[in-house]
Parts: sequence; structure tokens; C-alpha cells
Amino acid sequence: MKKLILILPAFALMVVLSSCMKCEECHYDGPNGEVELGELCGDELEESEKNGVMVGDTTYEVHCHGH
Amino acid sequence: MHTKITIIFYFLFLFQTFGQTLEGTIVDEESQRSVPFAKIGFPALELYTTSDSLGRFSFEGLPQTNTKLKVTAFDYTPYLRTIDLALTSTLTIRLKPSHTVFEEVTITASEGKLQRENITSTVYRSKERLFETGATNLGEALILIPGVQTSSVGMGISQPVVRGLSGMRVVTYWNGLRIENQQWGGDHGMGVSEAGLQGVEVIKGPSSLLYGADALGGVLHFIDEGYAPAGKMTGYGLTRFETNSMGTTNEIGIKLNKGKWRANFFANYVNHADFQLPDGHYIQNSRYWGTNFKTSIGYRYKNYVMNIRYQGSFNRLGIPGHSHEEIPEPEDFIRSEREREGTLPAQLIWNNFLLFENKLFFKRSDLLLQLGNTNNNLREFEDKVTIPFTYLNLNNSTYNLRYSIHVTEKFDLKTGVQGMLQFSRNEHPTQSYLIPDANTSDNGAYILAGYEYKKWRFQGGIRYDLRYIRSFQSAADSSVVANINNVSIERVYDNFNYSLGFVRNAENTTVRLNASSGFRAPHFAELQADGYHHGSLRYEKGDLDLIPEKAHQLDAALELHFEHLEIIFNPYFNYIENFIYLERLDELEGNYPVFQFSQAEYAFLYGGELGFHYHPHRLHQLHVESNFSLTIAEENSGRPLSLIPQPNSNSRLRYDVENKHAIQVKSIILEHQYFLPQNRVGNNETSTVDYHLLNLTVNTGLLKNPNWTASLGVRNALNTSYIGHLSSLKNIGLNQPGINFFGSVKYEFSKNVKNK
Repeated sequence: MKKLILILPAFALMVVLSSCMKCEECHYDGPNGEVELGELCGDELEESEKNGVMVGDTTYEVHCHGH
Repeated sequence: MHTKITIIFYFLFLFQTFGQTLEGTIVDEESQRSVPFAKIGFPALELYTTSDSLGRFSFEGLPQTNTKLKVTAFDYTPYLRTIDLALTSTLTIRLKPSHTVFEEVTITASEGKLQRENITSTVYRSKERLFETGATNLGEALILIPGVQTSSVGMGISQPVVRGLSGMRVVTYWNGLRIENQQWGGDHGMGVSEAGLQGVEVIKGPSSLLYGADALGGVLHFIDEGYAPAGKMTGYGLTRFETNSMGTTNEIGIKLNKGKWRANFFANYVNHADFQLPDGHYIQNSRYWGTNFKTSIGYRYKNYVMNIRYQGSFNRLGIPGHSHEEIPEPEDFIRSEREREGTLPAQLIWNNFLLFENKLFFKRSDLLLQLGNTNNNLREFEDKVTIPFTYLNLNNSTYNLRYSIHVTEKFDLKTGVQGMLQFSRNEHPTQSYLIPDANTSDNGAYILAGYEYKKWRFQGGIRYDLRYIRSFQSAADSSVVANINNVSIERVYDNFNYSLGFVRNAENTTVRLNASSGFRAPHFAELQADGYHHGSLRYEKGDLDLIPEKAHQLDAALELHFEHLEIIFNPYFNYIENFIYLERLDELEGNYPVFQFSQAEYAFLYGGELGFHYHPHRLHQLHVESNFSLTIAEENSGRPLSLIPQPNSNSRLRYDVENKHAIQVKSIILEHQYFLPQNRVGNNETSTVDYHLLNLTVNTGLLKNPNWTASLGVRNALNTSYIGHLSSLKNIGLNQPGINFFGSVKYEFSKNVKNK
């Protein structure tokens, strides 16, 4: 019984806390239409969303989800 | 003088340290036969047992105090009496047979009184009853309670509406802990999980006296399952599937009661793909999933009871109705294929609730101390997957100290202090603040007296509350604070509230009248919003000049109780000074309609609930129940208020079946919900047409094994196309889900454990 009391909360916590690295297909809307950037992951994904992508002198906002 | 004070305190706090024993028998009042397997216990001690096959029961280690004893058994009227455990060691309880149990025993708001004995309008519904006809979630289940509706954003997000009031005006409690989870947002749900839930108690109307500021519309008090009987370990596993969203719910629960310690564990996992419309298409991004974990650990020794309760939950809720189109059409949100994978926009919500509860029982009194903390972490993603559109953390710490005393057998008194300290912060990274960083503190003191005289019971009390709020100007980038009025404000609000009423209980009639008040200070969202709120699909503008609302409600009830028929009529009139409301302006910002927080000199909401329960003598297995709820609301100019629920009725036929087949049909329930048109609409609000919904459920046993039960059924059996008046998707013409077949299987077990 004592084992059960320990195992159950531990299992629940494990399920709740489990996570994985986020990857998304990204693009930006350039002057000639949508430009695909491919799949970006982790820090690269975060950086692109935060700062956008620089093409020449222009910074474009990066969109990374499929809706 | 000192001697008198000493004597008074001696009698007030007199308690024995010896554990008391109580044993007895439960019998039928008419036949004098024993009543086996009745549930008997003490709600205040959270201690229950079951009578054996001869109707016998026993308790050990009880405190020597005056407390309520509650007994329930199938086909009997609930039994609830105060007994003096110091003077009672044996007891014969006579239960009155009843075919119609229209009311259930409430256990918190009025300290364990039957519904008919309450001064306030209180309704209790068990989880079993709420989900009996296959409701997908709590939001859908709550609308079965007369006077309660829910506003929704798709299926994953719903907020309770009590007698036409919602959001900050309805306060949610969980086992005595006040839940704060950004209720100001129309798209912020309840935060309470149905895992391990015993039931919900709804107190309708202003309830500030016992529940503090803000409760102008009412209180929803969610109560978890009690502990297992002494010396028992019980548990269950439940799995449920529904076709409309290919949704699954899996839940487990284990309860253990051993010696002085008790513990409960519950967990569930819920996952729904996009919901299907009556025409076969799907609502894009209506998918959601979540997992919840709850535990309670209790300790009881002589006159002391301690409980520690925790709930942790994580939910990912898709927000349907999102579009980048200039003029959105329903087709923009409808897909021909169902999807389950998470997309944006979505809310990711972590809720953590913790409650530490202590009760001390004295000879004629008890002392309750509750210390709690709730933390709501809300990230709302709109167009970026790593940077939330808004990211809020709300931390709330509460205290509740209450002393209750039976001064005489007829006269009781409760007094206490309550308060909370709240920190609301915008976390980073975030694209936008929807409310400023702010601190709030609440402190209140109250006294409530009750007196019984023959068939009459009177109750009255007053309360004083002081609320301090302060918001902070942010130094964040101007684009981040573009959706708020970025100034610092500091306000102090105080208010007196009252409650006064009586109830008269005769054999066949109950008459009740109650006057109560409540107050609510404006929230920062109402004061300082100035921008888009994607979750509720609105552009919202606040007003710094808003002042507190004050509500006064008159609530009456007439109940008729006959052997086979019960009728309840419960009218009310709620008058709210300085009513704050969202007024839709005749303009758009981007794709969104603009709503302004405005204040009317006063508003009044009136209406009531009417219900009956008929149980024909010649057909004992049949129960016919129906209730009708109506709210009419308008401001001082006579203009109707926005977002007021449609008048509606819930009717059901239940037929209990007795058979011995391998698949043993236990009951068949046919439920009909009718929502009348809502033509009384606010400025720029559109009316709603009426619709009928039909639900059917068959409850069965399995394999002739009492541990197994199953349920099969269909909701919206006629595949009706409908849009509820309180659905946020109504603005874009999106229907609600179509036909939904569901099935569930539950396994329960119980075993003895060494009780040392």
C-alpha cells in the first residue's frame, strides 16, 4: 500500500511534466508571396519568432504554425 | 467579573480528550425493519460508514461535541439531526420511506442542512446526477441545475452563469478554497476538474456574507468525494468514449482510511479532437486535452480534524473561431476533416490549488482555520508558437477563520474573518499585456446568527469588507502594453453586507424568504483594458471611472411536498446599483467588434425557477422531473442587458429496471432540453432562436458483477443545428456540436484493511 501511495503521485507527475522539443514549419510573407523556411526547432524557432528573418535590409515577421 | 469570564470560556471550550463510541441501528419508521447498507456519518468530521445487513453501525474515537449526523438510504428521506456525542452512545435511527427525493443533503454553505431548511437558495447536485446523461464536461453538465447556464468558447472553455450573472460576479470555491483563475476573461474557464468530484453546491444570488466580495450572482462550491469508510480501501477506474469529437476520458481514484489517517487520490486524462457539426463538418481548432491530479490527506484524532488538499491540472484548450480574414465567414472555421494535433490559437493553463484545513471540536462549538493558495498560470498563444500573445500568473493566498457555537439548542452563532492577498503578474516573454501587473488584498469580518422556533427558522447576519487594489505602470515596450491603459492606480473600497431571512417547514409545505446583499469592486480589466482580447473574440475598452457594484436580492420560495409529487417555485429579484456591463459599440477594430465597459445607474434581474418531481404510485419505477428557469434583465433605461441566458427547461423521464440478465439494464433516462428564443437583447446584440435537444441514456450492470457498471447513450439525438445565446461562436454564425454517441465503463472495488 505504501508503494502505491508513492507510485501514483509520481506517475501523475511524470505524465504532467513530460515534454519534448518543439519543432514547427515556418514561413515569412515576402514581397513576392509566402517563403517557406522549413522546420525550425528549439532555440532557432524561438529566435526566429522573436526577431524575424532579415532579407537584405528588410526584417520579415516569421510565422510558425499551420492555421 | 473574572470568574464569570472564566466560567463562560470553560463552557465554550470545554472538551474531553476521551474518544467517544457510538453504535446503533437504522430501521424503517413504518415497518420497523432494519435498513441495511445505509450511509451514515458526520459531515463535519468527514467520517462515514455503512450499516451492515442488519442495519447496525458503530463509530469509535469520536469527539465529545454537538455535531450533525447524516443518514441516507435508497428510497428513504435523508435524515439529518444534531446530536450531542457526549451524551449519546447508542442510537436507533428511524428513516422515513420516500418515493420522491427531490432534494439532496447539502453539506457546506449552511452547515449540513437539507435544501428545504436553508434560508438561502441553495441547490446541490451530485457528479453522478450531473453526468448521468452523458455531458461531455462540467460546463455542459452544470446547465442541468435550475438557474445555471454556461457561456462557452467552443467545447473546451466554459464559464458558469448563475441567474444571468457570470465572470467576476460568480465566485467558485473548491472544498472551501476560493478559486481565482482570471474569471474576468470571457474565455477563461472554471479551473475545476470533475475527477474525484462528489458534487457541486450552487448558492444563487448575492452571497457576500459567507463568501466575501464579488459573489453578486452566486457561488459554485465544488466538493470532492469524501474519504473511504474506516478500515477500508476503495477505488475505481473509468473509461469513456464519445463519437462526436472522438473524445476519451480516463479516470482513476483510490481512497484509503486506516487508523487516524485517510487519503484520497484521483487523476484523469481528457482528450478531444475537433467537434463535429450537425452537417458532418468539423469546427477547426475546437480540440482540447487536459490532465488533472487531486489528493486529500486527512488526519483525525479525538477533537481535531486536519485535511490537506491539492489539485494540479494542466489543460491545452484550442480557441476556435480564429481567422486572419478581414471579414470572417463561418466557412473560415469549418473543416471537412477532423484533426487532433494541437494548433494555434490556444490556451495553456496550469492550475495549482492547495488547502490546509484545521477543525477543532469543543463541547458546543467548533473552530475552523483554512489556509490556502491558488496559482493560475495562463499562456494564450495567438500567432507565435514560442511567444505567447499574453502570459499571466495569478497567485492568491487565502485565510478563513470561523468560530461556530450552539449557544442554546435553538440558537446558534457563527463569526469569522476571511481574506486574501493576490498578486497578478504579466510573465515574459509576452506579446501583449491584457491587464496591468497588480496587487489586491481583501479582508472581511462577519457574524451570522440563527434561531429556531417550532417550524420556523430565522437567520441574519452582517459583514464588513475592505478591498485594496493597486496596479503598476509598466516599463515594457509600448507594443507590449498597447492593449491596456498603462497607468498606475490605487483604490480602497469598503462595504457592509447583510443577509436576513426565514424558512418555515411544515409537513407538506416550505416557505422561504431571504434578503441578501453583495458588492464587487471593478476589476483591472474593466478599468484599464484597451485592446484586443483574442480569446473572447473582442476588442475591449475599460473605464477608469467605474465604481463598485452593490447588489440587493429578494429571494422567495414555496415548496409543496406530497407523497408522490413535489413542486418548487423560487422567484427572485436582484437589484444592482452601478451595474458594470460590456456594451457592444457600432464599430470594429480589425476583425473584432468593439466592446466598451460601461456603468448603468442600476440594473435589475428578475425571474425564477419552477420545478416538479412526480413519481406515480402505480408505476414505482418511473420518475418524471422538469424545471424551468427564466431571467429577465434590464438597466435603468429599460434596455435589456447583453448575454442573458435564454429561458430554458430541462425535463426527464427515468425508468428504473430490475432484471437478472448478463447485461443488466438498471435505468433508462430520456432528457429533453428546450431553450426558448432570446429576443431581449442588448445594444448591437443579435437575438437567438429556440431549439430542442434530446438525450437518451441506458445505464447497465455487467456480468452480474456489482463492481462493473456501464452507460450507453446519445446526446443531441435529433442532430439539431443550434447556436446557444451565450456561445462566443455565435458572432460568426458557428453551430454547436451535432449528434454524439457515448459509452462508458466503470469498475469499482472495496476491500478491508487493517485499521491500526
